Amino acid sequence: MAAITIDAVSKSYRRGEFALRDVTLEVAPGEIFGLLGPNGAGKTTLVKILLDLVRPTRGTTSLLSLPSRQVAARRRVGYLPEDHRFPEHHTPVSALLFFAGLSGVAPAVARPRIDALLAQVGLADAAGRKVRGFSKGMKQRLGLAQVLVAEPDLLFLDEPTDGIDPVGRAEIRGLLEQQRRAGRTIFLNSHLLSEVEQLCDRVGILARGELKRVGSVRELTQSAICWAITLSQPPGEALLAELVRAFGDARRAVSDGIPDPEAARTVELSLARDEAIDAVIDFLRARELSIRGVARKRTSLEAAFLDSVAGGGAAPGAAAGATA
Amino acid sequence: MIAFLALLRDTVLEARDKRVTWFLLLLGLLFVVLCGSISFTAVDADAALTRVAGNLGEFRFSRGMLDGGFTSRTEVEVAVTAPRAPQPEDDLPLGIDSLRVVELGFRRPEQLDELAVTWRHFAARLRRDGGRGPFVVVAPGSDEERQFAAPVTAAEQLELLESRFLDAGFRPVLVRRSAEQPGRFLVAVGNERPLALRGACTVAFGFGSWSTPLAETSQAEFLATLSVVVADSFAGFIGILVLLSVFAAAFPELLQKGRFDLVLARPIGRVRIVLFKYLGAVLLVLLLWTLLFAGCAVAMGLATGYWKFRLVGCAMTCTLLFAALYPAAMAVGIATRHVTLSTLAGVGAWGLERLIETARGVLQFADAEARARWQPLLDGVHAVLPKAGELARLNQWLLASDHLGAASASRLLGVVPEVDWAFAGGSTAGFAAVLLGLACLLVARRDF
Ligand SMILES: Nc1ncnc2c1ncn2[C@@H]1O[C@H](COP(=O)(O)OP(=O)(O)O)[C@@H](O)[C@H]1O
Ligand SMILES: [Mg+2]
Repeated sequence: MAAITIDAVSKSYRRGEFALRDVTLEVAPGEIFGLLGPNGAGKTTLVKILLDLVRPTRGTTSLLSLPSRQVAARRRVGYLPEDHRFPEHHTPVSALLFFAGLSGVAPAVARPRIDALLAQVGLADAAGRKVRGFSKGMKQRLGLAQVLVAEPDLLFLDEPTDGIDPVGRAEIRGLLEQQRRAGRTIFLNSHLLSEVEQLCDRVGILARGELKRVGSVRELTQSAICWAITLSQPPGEALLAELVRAFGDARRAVSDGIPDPEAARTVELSLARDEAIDAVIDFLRARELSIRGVARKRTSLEAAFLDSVAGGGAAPGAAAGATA
Repeated sequence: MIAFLALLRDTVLEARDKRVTWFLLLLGLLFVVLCGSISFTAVDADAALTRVAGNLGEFRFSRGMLDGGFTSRTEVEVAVTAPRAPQPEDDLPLGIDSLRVVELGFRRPEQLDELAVTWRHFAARLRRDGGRGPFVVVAPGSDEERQFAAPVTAAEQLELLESRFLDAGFRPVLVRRSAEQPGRFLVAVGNERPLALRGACTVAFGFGSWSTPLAETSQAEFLATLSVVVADSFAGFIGILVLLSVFAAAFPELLQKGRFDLVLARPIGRVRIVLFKYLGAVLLVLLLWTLLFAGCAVAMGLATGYWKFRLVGCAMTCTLLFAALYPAAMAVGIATRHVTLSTLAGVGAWGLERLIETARGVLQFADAEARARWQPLLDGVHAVLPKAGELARLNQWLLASDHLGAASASRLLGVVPEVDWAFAGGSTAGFAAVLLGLACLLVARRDF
């Protein structure tokens, strides 16, 4: 029995334009599945179809063996929407009582659970305050408590760490690890690679509505060898363009938004043969660039991701080259 | 059930969060205090008796509290003795307690006949249309004119005098013609129902700080009027306006991006969410009005000693009006997600019905051609709208029957026009059901 079944789902909001195109996928119980994709890829649309918030143009989906269109399919499900907004007349406690009630959990049962949950997400001190004055981080914590309040078996999280500081992200990861240990199935939408890399058992890459690749993180990253060359100064666009022309690949290392001077000075490229690295170093030295480090590593998930996303159109490196 | 209670609680918290809700509660409390601050001075039946006897030439007809009325005056010169207790030589029937007696002496007995003719016209007009229609001049030579011009009989004279005192609220009334002197009458009245006696006391508000004599009104009529003001003007008008604006915001706010997702992802159907929200709002309104009206009724009882509880029944009619109008606000709120438009839809359906009702009244006096052109349109639109006017009538009828006898109820309310309750109720329920269905359909079919 699959926890989530998606069978040939397509969705067009407007005639002709497809937000999702023929997506088929299964997620097993107890699995943490990460759906990666750039903004606008259709990740949110897919989750909303699973929860019957949006109706698919074609195809069917089911949760825990029940068709999504049935109300009962959502009985054991928790959902964190990407830009959720809590009704401002609520306090965390009254909001959680409300959502527990909608899931059929009586206040007497929900009450002790809510106290524990608020302590767990670090909102115990704000339990009686109106949601109105909450910061983005506090709202996100409350959102997570809302997901867990009815003790679901299946969790949908849409960009759960979007706009959260690194400490908060680590806390959220911890919480999800805990849910994994409790045997819950988690479906995570993200455009942040590191997060998916650290948490997920399996990853799907969605681009322009199409599911490009599905596999474990290991499967997706084994295909090529990647080199990271750290220079004395950040590489310019012109240099990257030249490298792409000469060796077929080159890009700046990305560090998930955390400023890292080392990463800013690092060029990453995938090479088919190990010997080719000599030619790359000669190429750089010929331009009188000072090399501070050379590392050989497996392709990062990011490379696989960029590779898949670039599939239909120009590669990001090539695009950078064209504008230089 | 748990889900319904959760939504109900959410609705309460949402309403509590709005300032107008508190404004309404405060205003309601003011009404309760106002009702509790009323007091009447003791009834002075002798003064009322003297006043009625001295004003025999004046007929007043009221078309209902909010509708005005008219007065007709006929010159009558009459001498009235001071009220006194009955004496053996009056030869009154035994067994009637505490009668008071006055003697009337008409200086010119033919004036009594003139008065009787005026009374014929007056009564005929009331019989015809309750005084609502145009004043009709009797055609010369018609049957009607001949009836009006017929000589006045002795029995009719007695009946006229008797009706003047009955109308003022005295029970029983005995009128006897003096055998010796023409134009002299003995009138004996009882005061079995002091509550119904007109112009016999003074009412004070604000715990006695402001008072005014009740010149033309009985205590019962005064209390009924006050109740109608609470039920119709406060609850049925200001209250409905405020509550519509409070609850009209519910759906546009609920459907906000990022907020409805949280609700829809729960195991509860969309139609159920809409219906539960509706039911919750209606229940809250019912509770609010029941508390307010019960508060007013108890306060009035404590203050005046008259315990009348039909006012509490008006909570039901006021809630029915809200329940009929709210679906319009819901449907528009869901379609446009706009709070102001949503409020306007609820208030608009109501205003339109009142407007058309008024237009239909005006059209009765228009010429036949205009009537033929506009009547079907007005009737057609009116047929589908919720019948706010009829619900208000229901309130007035409830309240009048609580305090008043049939005669004084019709004096207070005017002659209640024939209402086809099945049609009014059916079309009002139909309006609500169709818009509620539309609201459900809009939510059920959309992507969120
Ligand atoms: N309600 C909607 N109406 C019309 N188009 C929409 C709607 N929601 C999403 N889209 C379009 O569908 C595509 C996928 O959007 P979305 O699922 O939000 O992507 P993601 O979550 O991956 O950023 C985008 O092109 C977006 O513009
Ligand atoms: Mg998204």
